[in-house]
Amino acid sequence: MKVALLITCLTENFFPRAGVAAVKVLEHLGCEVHFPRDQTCCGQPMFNSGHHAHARDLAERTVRIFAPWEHVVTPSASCAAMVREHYPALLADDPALRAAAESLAHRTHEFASFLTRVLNFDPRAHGLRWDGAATYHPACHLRALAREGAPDATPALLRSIDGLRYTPLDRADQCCGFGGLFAVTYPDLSGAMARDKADAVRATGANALVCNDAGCAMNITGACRRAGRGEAPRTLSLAEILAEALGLMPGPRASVGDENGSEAPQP
Amino acid sequence: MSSPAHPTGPVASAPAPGGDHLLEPPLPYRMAPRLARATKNIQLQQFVATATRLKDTKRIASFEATFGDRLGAVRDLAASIKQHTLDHLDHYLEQFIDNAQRAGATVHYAADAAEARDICLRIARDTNSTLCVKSKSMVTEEIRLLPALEAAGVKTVETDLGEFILQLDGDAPSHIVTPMIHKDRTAVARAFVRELGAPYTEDPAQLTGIAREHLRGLYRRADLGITGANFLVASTGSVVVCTNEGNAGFCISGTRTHIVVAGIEKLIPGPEHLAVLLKLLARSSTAQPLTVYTTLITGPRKQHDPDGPDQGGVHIILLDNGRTDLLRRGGPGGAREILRCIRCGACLNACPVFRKAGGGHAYGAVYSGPIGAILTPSLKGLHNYPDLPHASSLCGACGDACPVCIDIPAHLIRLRAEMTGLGLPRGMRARKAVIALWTFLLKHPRLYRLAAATQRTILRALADDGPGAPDPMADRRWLSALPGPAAAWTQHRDFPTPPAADFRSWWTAHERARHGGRDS
Amino acid sequence: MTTRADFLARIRDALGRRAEGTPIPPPPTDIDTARTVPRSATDLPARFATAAAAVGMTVHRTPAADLESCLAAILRAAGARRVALALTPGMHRLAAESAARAAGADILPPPSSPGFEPHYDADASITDVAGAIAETGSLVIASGPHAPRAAFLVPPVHIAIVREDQILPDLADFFPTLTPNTLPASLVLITGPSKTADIEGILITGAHGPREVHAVLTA
Repeated sequence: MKVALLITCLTENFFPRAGVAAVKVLEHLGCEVHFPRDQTCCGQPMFNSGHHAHARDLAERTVRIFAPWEHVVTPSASCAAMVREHYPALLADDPALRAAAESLAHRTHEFASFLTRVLNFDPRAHGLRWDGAATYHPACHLRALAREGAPDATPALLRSIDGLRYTPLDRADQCCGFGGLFAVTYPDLSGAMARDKADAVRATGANALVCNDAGCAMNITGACRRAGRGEAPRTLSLAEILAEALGLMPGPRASVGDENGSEAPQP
Repeated sequence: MSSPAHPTGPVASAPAPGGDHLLEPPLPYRMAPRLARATKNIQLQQFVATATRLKDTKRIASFEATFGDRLGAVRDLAASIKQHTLDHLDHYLEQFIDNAQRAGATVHYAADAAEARDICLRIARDTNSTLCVKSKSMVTEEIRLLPALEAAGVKTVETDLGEFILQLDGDAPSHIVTPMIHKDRTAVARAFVRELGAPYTEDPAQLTGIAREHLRGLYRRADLGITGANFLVASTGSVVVCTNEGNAGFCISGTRTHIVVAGIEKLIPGPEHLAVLLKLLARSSTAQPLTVYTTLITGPRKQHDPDGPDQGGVHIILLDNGRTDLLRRGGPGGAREILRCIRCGACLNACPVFRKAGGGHAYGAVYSGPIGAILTPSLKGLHNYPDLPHASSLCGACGDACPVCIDIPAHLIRLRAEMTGLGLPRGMRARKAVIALWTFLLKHPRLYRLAAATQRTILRALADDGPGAPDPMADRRWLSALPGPAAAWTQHRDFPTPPAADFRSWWTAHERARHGGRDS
Repeated sequence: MTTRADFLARIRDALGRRAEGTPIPPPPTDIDTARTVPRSATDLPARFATAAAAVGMTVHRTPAADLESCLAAILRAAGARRVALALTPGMHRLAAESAARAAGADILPPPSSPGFEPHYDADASITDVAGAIAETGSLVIASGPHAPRAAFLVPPVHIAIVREDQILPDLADFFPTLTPNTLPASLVLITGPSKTADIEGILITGAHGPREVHAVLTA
């Protein structure tokens, strides 16, 4: 199965390890992964802040770049939502582009959703092991994906990993306060929301925070560090946890005789 | 819009005494000062967070218990009832007017707030009313009725307990359903001592009792009752008013004259539709199956009724005040659907921004929270409320909570796009240039990669903390202070640098190892 | 001054409609989508009792023969000295009058002029109902010659006599029955005692209306 990776601008620039992990997991599960090099950004920041002409241009180029690929997978929930929910209407002025956007919307999947709904990934068949206490923050855009019948697959996947002590985050559904430009245009609001989220994370006692959106991850980890005076749980994507639990990347796999070692990377 | 023949009430933009100034600030209204105060007030944050979180959690539990996975279908039905009515509002309004008049009510037409105030003052004058009791109604706040009545010599008392207390304190409601979430019992106790000469007590039951006795004294002397309406039923000409306290009953039935002020969007086709909408209203607000009192008024008292307003004593004022501007914009994504709102407050209770900002009247208008963020700029002008559509992280909790399926996030984005087109707000010009430059880079992959590499170098050089890690892909540093406008981020949290290694270099090596060839 | 014609013209203009009286499609009619109690439910008194208790009403179930003593007991427990009666002439009214006498309470005389005033002197009221809803535990009270609105609102204790056959399953069974020709001036669904939670979210009953509501179910 050929899969194109839509890495997203924030993931590529700030959390590239999540992109690497996604590639490794997909290849391990038998996919042939491709990376269209001309990709840059899905246009969501422009769309959300009301600069729709710019968003439209970025949507158009994204649609063209990913046209050849039957499956497009992205490690970011918000970018998946942008493509699936908003691209068709953004390109509505051109019938051919609109049709191409609708096609891309159907072919684009958030990583966890792709694993469970397209690859029918069964965690129990893979001997997943990961030693640590983890909690999970679901990105708000997963709400949109859930509404169209794709409920969040990540908690179940985390619970299926041996050795992973999963503590649900209190009021996980509360926004972390990132909101793109909102974080810098409404710093008091955003900061207060991020602080609440950091408090909730600390209350779980987890040493790892799983988050499938680079924006949320930057925001929450930054807030945890500020609240914890430089200390913060390690933040990583589901792809990274799975890659580590499968022994594809260095991580705290608990089994004896594991050649990949158990050094946990830093936040 | 017609202008009044003579001026009435306070001049529009000067702050008026009492709580009025909180909800009618000088325009254009900027949120920053009130947001800063609200987010720093720990006690306020706690009150509001407790009140709203509890209601939100109970709402979800109540709907789960009542409808289970049928909830989506019920919300869709409620949305279609309201949308259908709006799409044919002329038809249903005519039907309502005819039926209300047939039942003996007098119907009045107010194009704007000034006209609505005029009509109320005229009715008060014609009935020689000097004491008015009113029940909580957002629309009467919207038209600034109370100051106008007082200025005309009609003492007007808010009877909803929360509004009564706010009136005593010269304060204003901070929530469309539970107006007093920003105040605690000690504030109430002090207000009662000061304004009513009551003994000091912090016991909520005793405080409620003091209010009950005081208000009963007023009910018994009142000549005029004013309420809003939750629904107007077209096929019967009925007005529906929902309360928990029962104060509306005294305002509706305890005086000779009852005035209803209602926005035109309150129409529904028939009483059967109440079976759907009422099931959603109280559960969305307070997780109750129904409010304690659900009252249908159809005209004044009938010939042998022992009480209720006299013949000619029921007045219904239908209000436009900018609603037709929203009505005009039908079609997919258009503003018309905003008029479906049944004022349940669910979006306020679900909203993480309201949880921080609401208690401080930071929305600067009668309608607050997510619905206020889209309704207020739509009714009063985007240029007057340029911050409201942007003060949101677009998390979507509001849209999910709305019982009539208003896609609030989509309207926030639409308003932001309209603002960009209008060049709003003024500080946006610099931002527009930055976004244009950013988009340019994103359309040119080589320039983009160059910019990304430059950013990585600069941020890593500026970083003041970072443990370093053996894996360059995970070797991240942190900054506690970013320069310029980006400092807003580091006010409240650290900012990560990109790691030492980048994805594309890794990919190139990966491809080489996999194929020995180049990728597309 | 805006006339009806002006007002409607502006709305028609906003909707893009020029002609009056253009036929419109019917409104949504599948009200049963929101039904929670089946139309065929048979245990209505029990469902009503559960729902009414859940919203803070006190429910009494009594055979018709014991109605008077049940009412008298409620009046005595409330310490009522003056009772307002809002009942159409008939068996329930007779039982209420006897109950008041048995509890040593005076019955408020019928008011001499329209208004709420006499009811401010009552400690309790006994009313009948126009209906009841099992789904929500609601009492339906219609205004009428023997039904002053003050009766269920002003006295601190409200006692409503409900015949079991008056109980409808769901709001979806009640609201469609209302027509312009049969609606009273005031129709109220009462779902519990008057309450407020405005002060710190703490629930207090008896805000303006009654602090106690009793539903007496009788065959």
